Amino acid sequence: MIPTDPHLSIRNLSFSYPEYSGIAARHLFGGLNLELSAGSIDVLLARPDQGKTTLCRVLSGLIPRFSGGQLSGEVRLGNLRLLEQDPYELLEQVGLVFQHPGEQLLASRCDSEVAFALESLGVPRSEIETRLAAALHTMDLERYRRQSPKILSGGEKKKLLVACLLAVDPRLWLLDETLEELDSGTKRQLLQLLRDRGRSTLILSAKWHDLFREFANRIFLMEDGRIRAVGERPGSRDFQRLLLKRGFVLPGEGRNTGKASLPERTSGSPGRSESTDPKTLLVAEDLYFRYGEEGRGAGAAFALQIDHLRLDAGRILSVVGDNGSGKSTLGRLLCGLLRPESGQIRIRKGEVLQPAAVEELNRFTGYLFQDPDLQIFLPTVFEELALGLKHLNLSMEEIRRRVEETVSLFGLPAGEAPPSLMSYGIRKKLQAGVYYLLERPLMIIDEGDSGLSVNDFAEMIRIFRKQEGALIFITHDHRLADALADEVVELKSGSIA
Amino acid sequence: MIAQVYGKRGASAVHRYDPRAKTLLLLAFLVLFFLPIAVGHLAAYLAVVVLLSGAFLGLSNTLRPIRMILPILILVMLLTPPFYREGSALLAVRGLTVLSVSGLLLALRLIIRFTGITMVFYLFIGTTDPDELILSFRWFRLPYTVSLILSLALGYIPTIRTLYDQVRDAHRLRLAAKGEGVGEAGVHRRGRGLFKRLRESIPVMTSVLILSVRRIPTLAMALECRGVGRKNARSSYHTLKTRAALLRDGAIALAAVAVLVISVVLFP
Amino acid sequence: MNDKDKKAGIAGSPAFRIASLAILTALTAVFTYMVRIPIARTGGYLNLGDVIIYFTAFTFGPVSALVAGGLGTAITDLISGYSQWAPISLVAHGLQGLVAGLIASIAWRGKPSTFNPFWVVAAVAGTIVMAGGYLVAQILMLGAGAALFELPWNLLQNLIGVVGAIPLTIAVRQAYPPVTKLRW
Repeated sequence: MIPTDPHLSIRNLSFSYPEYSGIAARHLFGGLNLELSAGSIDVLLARPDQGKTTLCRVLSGLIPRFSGGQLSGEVRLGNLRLLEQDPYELLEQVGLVFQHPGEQLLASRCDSEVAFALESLGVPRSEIETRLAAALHTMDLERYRRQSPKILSGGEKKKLLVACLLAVDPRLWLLDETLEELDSGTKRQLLQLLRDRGRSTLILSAKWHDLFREFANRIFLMEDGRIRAVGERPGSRDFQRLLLKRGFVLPGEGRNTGKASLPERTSGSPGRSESTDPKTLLVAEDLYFRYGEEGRGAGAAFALQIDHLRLDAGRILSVVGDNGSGKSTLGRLLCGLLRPESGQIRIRKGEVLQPAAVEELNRFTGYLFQDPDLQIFLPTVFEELALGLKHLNLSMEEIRRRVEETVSLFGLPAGEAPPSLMSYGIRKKLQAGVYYLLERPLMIIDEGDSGLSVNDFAEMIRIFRKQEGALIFITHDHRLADALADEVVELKSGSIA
Repeated sequence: MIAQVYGKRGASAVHRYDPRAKTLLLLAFLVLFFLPIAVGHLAAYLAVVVLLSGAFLGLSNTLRPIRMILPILILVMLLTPPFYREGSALLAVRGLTVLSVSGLLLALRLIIRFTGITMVFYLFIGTTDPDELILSFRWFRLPYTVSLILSLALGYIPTIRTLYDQVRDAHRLRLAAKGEGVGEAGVHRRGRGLFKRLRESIPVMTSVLILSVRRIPTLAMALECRGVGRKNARSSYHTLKTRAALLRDGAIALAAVAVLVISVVLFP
Repeated sequence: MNDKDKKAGIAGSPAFRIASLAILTALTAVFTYMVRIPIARTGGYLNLGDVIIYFTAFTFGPVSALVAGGLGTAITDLISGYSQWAPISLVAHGLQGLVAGLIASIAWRGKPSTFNPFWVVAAVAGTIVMAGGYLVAQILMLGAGAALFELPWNLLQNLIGVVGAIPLTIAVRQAYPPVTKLRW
C-alpha cells in the first residue's frame, strides 16, 4: 500500500523570542493557523522579518530549542505531533533548506554533504551510494561530486541542499527563500522537480515570482503574526493590488508605463562634457580588473572591464546583474578597496576632477556592505551612530541632535538596547543611518534590498537622495532598479551590457 | 596542506598511500632521530629523508621547510655550545673553554634531529589528504564527535578568514575620514606601534567574534536537522582503503621499519 | 522528551557542543595564523591566537578553551608549514586554555559585562602553563640555549593575549549579551 502524504495542520501557534534587558520580548506569531493539503506545493509570502525562517525552524523542532522563547499551540503532520519531537528524530518527516546555504553546509565534499543525513540514519553504504548518485544526477551536480561545496555558486549551493533533501525524501519539504537569487531556468527546473516529486512542499518567499502562478497550489500571506489564504487569483489586477498594498511591490513596478518614465540604460557611451559639468562627482575610465583563482565562484566572470562610467550629484544609478557578473567588484573599485590593473578614477576635488588614489576613494565613498553586521560592535544604537561624528569636533549637544534626527529619520529604536539583538531589517537601517551621518559624496549600497521590504528600501533611497551626493545601489532585482533609479547599468560577465 | 584546506587534492601514489601506514613510518623516524647514534649516521638518515621529500614533493617544496627553520638552526648552532663546555676544547680563552668538541657535536645533533623531525612531519602532512587523515584518526579510535569537530573547524577556517577580511574592510572604510588612509584591502600598514595596532584591532575582533558566536546555534541547528544527536549508530559512507590495500601498504611500512632497525644496529 | 532536555537544548545537546567547539577552534586557528609578526622568531610568531584562547576561557569555560586552544593552534601549525610543532601546541595551548578556563570559572558576583579580576589570575596561570610546556619541549628539541632565548618571546605573546582578551571579552558581552548563555 502506498502511504499517502500526511497533511500539515498548524493550530493557534504563538511564539515570542526571549526578552533581554532593554528589549521587550519580540512576538512573532499570535495564533497562526494553517492547513496544507497533502502532496501539494504551497507558497507562503511574507515580508522580511515577519517570521518565515522562524516558522520553518519551529516546524523542524529547532526553535525554541536553540533560541529560547515561548511557544504554544499545536502542529500535526498527519498523526505526528511535531512540537514534541527532537529535530534529529524528524529527518524523514520534515526537510528544511536554510535561507543562507553557507550556514547549512557541513562537509568538505559534495558527495559527503549529501551522504551526511543518510549516515545519521544508519543507512548501509551501498544504499547511500544509490540514493546519493540519484540525487546528484537529478540536480545536475554530478561533476562536483568530489569537489568542495565551497566552490559552488550560491544557486548551485542551494541545488546541493535540495539534493540532500532528495536523498532523504522527507514527507514535508520546507524551502526558506530558496528561489531567491536563482536564475529563472533553475527556478523552473526546481519547481518542476517538486511537482514531479509529489511531496508536500511549502515555499516561503519575500517576493512574488511569476512562476508561482504555474506551479503553486495555494498562496498564503503571513503578516503581523497571522496567516491568511490569498483568495485573489494570481495575475489578476486584484492580486497586483494586493501585492502593492501589502508592500511586496512598488508603485510602478511591473507595469509598462511608457518610455518616458523608464530609466536610461547606459551603454557606456561617453559624454565628454563631464569635466565641466559641476554636478559630476566621479568619472571612471577604461577600468580593468582581473580576478584571481580564489574568490571567484564557478562560472563567474574572469575580468571586469568598464569603459566609461559617470556619476553626478543628485542622481541615482543602479547596477544590476546576476551573481558573478562583477557588480560588487565594481563597487569595491569605486571605494578603493580594490585597485584596478589599468584605467583611472577621477573625483571632484574643488573645481575640477582629478585622479584619485585609493586612500582618497576610501574617504570619498561610503560603501554599505550587504551584511550590516560587519561593522556593528558597540553596545547601543547611539554609540554606533555617534562613532563617526567623534572626530568632527562637534559639541555633545550637536552630536546628540544629529543622532536623534537620524534615529527618527530611519525609524530606529531609541534607547539602550544592543543593536545585535534587533531584527535584521533594523540592523540594515542602522547601517544606513551610520553612513547617512558620514555624509560621503558617493554612497554605494550593495544588495540593500535583501532583508528589507521594498517600501523600506525605497524609503532608504529617498533619504539618501536628499543628501545630494551621488548614489549607486547594486541589486539583482531588475524591477526594483527600474522603479527607483534614474539610470540603470547592467553588468554581464564583467562588462556593461 | 594549505592548498588542501582550500579544496584541492593531491593524486600521486604517495598521496594515496594509506595514512595509517604512513603514521607508522612517521613514528619510526621520530624515534630514530632521538636515538643516541653517531652524528654522522644521523646525518645520513636525514639525507635519506630529504631525498624522499625531493622525490615526492619536489625541490622547491623540500627547500621551503628548511628555509623556514633556518633561523632556528642558526640559533641552536650559536647558543648550544656556550651551555655545554665539557670535554676537549676547540677554542680556549685564557684557560677557559669557550667552544668544546662535545658542545659542537651536540649542536650538530640537535640541528640534524630538528631538521629530520621537521622534514618527516612536512612529508607526512604534505602527502595526506585532510579527510583521509581524519578518517585514520577514527580508525585509531578517535571518537566520531571529535573528528566532526575537526572537519567542521577546517571548513570554517576559510569562512572566518574571509569574514575577518570583510570586517576589517568595513571598519576601516567607515573610519577612513579620520584622516588615516586605509589603502587597499589586505595591505597591512607598516610602521605603527604594536600596542596601537592591537588597540585598533579590538573593534574588528569584536565584530568578528559576535558574528562567529552567532553562527554557533545556527550550525548546531544545521547539524541536528541532519541527524546529529540520534541514538542509533552512524553508518559511514567514506572509508579508507580495502583490507587488501591496507595490508599491502602496511607490509611496505613494516619492511621499511625493519630496514631501519637493521641499519641502526649495524651502524650505531 | 522531558523538561530537562528542553532546557538543556541550548548548551547541552551534542550538536551544540560540536558546533561551539568547531567554530571556536576555527577562530583560534584563524587568529593564530592571521596577524603574524615575525621577529627573528624560531618556529613561531607573535599572533593573536592567545587573545582568542583567553576569550574562550573567560566566556565559554575550560573545556571549550582546552579544545579550541589545543586543536586550533595545532591546526594552524599544520597548515602553515610548522607541523613539527603541532603535537606540542596541542598540549601546551590546550592546557593553557584548560587552566585559564578553570580559574576564570570561579564564581564572581559582579555583572557579567564588567571586569572580573579572576581573569588576570587565570591568564597568568595560563601563561605559566603554556610557556612552561613550550620550554620543556624546546629544551628537548633545541637545547637549553635556544629554548631560553625563546622564552621571553613566548611571554611577550602571552602578555598581548591577556591585554587584548580582557577588553575584548567585555566588549563582546556588552554588544552581544546572549553570549553568556552559550557557556557550558
